[in-house]
Amino acid sequence: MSEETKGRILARRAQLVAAALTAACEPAAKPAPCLETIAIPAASDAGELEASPDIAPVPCLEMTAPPPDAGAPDASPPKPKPDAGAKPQPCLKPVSPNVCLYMR
Amino acid sequence: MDRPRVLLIWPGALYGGGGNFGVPQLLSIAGAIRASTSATVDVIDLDIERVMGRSLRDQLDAYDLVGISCYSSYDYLKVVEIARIVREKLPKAWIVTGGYHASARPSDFEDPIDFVCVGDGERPMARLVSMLESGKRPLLRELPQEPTPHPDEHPPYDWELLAKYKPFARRAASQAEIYLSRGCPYDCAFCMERAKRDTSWRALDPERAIEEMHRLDRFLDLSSWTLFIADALFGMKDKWRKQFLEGLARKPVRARKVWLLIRLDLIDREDLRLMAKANMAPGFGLESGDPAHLRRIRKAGKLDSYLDKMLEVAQWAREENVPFGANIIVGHPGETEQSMRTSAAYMRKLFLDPRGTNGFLSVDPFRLYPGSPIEQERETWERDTGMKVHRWPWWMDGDQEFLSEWVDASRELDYRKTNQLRRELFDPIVKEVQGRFAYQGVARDYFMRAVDEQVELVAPRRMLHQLGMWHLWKELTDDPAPRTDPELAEIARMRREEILTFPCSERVRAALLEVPRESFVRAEDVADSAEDRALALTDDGKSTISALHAYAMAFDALELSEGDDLVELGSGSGYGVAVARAVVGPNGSVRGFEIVPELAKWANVTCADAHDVSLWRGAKKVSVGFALEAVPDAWIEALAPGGKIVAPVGSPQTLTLFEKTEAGVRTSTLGEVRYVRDRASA
Repeated sequence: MSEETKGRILARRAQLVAAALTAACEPAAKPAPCLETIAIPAASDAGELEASPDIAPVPCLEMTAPPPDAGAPDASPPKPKPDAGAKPQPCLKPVSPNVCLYMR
Repeated sequence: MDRPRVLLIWPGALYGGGGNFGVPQLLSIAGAIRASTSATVDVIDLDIERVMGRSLRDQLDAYDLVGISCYSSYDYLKVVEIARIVREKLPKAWIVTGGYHASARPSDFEDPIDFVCVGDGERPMARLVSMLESGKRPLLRELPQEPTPHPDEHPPYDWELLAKYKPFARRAASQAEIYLSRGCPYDCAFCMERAKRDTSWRALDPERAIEEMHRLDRFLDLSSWTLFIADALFGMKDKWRKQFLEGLARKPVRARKVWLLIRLDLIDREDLRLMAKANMAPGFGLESGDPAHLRRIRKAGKLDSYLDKMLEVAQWAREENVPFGANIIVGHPGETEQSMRTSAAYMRKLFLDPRGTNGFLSVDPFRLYPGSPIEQERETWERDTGMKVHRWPWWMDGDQEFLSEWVDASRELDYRKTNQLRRELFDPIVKEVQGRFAYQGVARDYFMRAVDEQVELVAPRRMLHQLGMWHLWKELTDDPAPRTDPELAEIARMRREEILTFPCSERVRAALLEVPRESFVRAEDVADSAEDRALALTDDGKSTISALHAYAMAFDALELSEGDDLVELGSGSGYGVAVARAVVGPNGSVRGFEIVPELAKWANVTCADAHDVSLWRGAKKVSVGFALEAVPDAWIEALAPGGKIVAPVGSPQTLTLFEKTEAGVRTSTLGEVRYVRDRASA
């Protein structure tokens, strides 16, 4: 197995760990600059998507909101704030009865 | 050490997305520790913490011992990462883990995890804390096993340990959890229960079990909750079960519904009647509708009458108005096409009764769990059935959900064939159940959600995700499969059909539908290839394949149509060229230019800098796939008279159409966009 492939496998692992833990274990981070070639809805939103010149661009993990007519879902989960204790986020998806004990 | 401080952490669900409240296993351990030591114990549920927006780091304050639950193998990477954070903040604290995975694979855990608790946690954890008190550190990482012979020996669940979560609980979860027993002595081949070592069934006294449920009800007010008795096997002993059900029927808790898992061959009609009175509903691990396959799975018991019993129970459930669920495992080692067809025929009989059904069918893929009998006897299973596990140990990788399922069931059925048969045989059944689910009682929405989730699991988006993962991991394990895969093409097209709802010309829409975008993305993105969003083509993210609607906007702005000649600057992997070719047809032409050599090769276009206008001088229609500060004059000059360029320009970027007319350049803006920047000027 090549070093490149090993690197790709490790990247998959890192992605899973980040997805699982970022919100819970780390203070909310500034979203990585996003290089989406998508239309954005309004000028006022554009600033949030701009990459700072001192930050190296990375492949996009934070999805930006597409225009309302683009038909694409907004994949970005709401980011909890470190001091958001008094204002909880809305409820997660309600659960359904599960017949499998280990995959939940 | 006086009054050591202990913290127990539940790392939260990853795939189920949380939704359950309670962590009763940690409360039981907390009770055992407090009963026999001077320690103070705190419990953290990261599912709830997440909703509260709190950081774990900020709560790691002066603890002497931290326990992290590794309930299932899907938790493994999280637990290791949490342990790393704990060690960073609390260098001297003892860190211990336990749970199903830890019990099955204690050797998976190294520094910074100091100790692993195998099997029941209460006694070993209490002993560990008392050693902490006395300053004696255990010599071995794996703590001596000490099963709980009688759960009644432990104090009642102290729900007050979760009092801090009460204001948030209903926002984070809709179902509370409780344990009333532990252990399951059956020997089903796939099951992880055996990892806990002591498999004997041990329950709280029925009266105490009922009282524990009422204590939880008093703490949380269950009237807007469902309650899950999360025992591996509810009520194995007939006398216990009847006593418990009768007691709860007399004095039910306020929960909308109480959900439990029980073996089909244990219950009788009286159980169903009592469950109806106690507002309970059972889930059955049916596993298969093929008797021969059930024997292979070691679904021990009275197999001759097992499947007839399920039909009978479904009838009772209808008559008693009790909802139920049953699952089958598709692709269990030894599965064959014949066993799947036999099983599907039975499921049709069970669930597609013309009178409707009170049950939902959960079609689950086989997953190889560590600690299961199959894992322990893997060589035998491989030899006897041809089972092949493609990635092991899967829990140490990302994509655990796919990798745990990536198993060939037999010589006859590889992973892909199993899934094709599943689509053919079982997907129509779960879709039909959606229209036939007849239960109309309390908490119908809770059960209907399970029915709907099954339908969602067979939707094109999910199927494409699964196939995308397969292609990715084939490549990552040095056995790449061609993207010209008819099933992949069919499913990706089905997904695009759902996605292509934005306004665009019919001709462009047809091209976007037909061109296999999955062939123009990196293996990492095949699963998302039909989504309407940009995907990176290079590690640095400076080249992307644009979102579907971006091509539609550009090509429609150019009024691209049959017979046109198009130049595309910044072709990436060649997707835009392919879509444009489909639009212009055989009488038109499309030339692409790409500056990155690897991408130009992939796209089969000219590797060149778009700024070299000698390459495309005289073009009539030009589409630019990267952002410019402004379109250079030389580009306008290079256009044929009447020619057009569409490009993202300025900051913020605006997709702009430039038309070269006799009177000069006419510009029209089409909206704000965000494209990757021009590499040549970067």
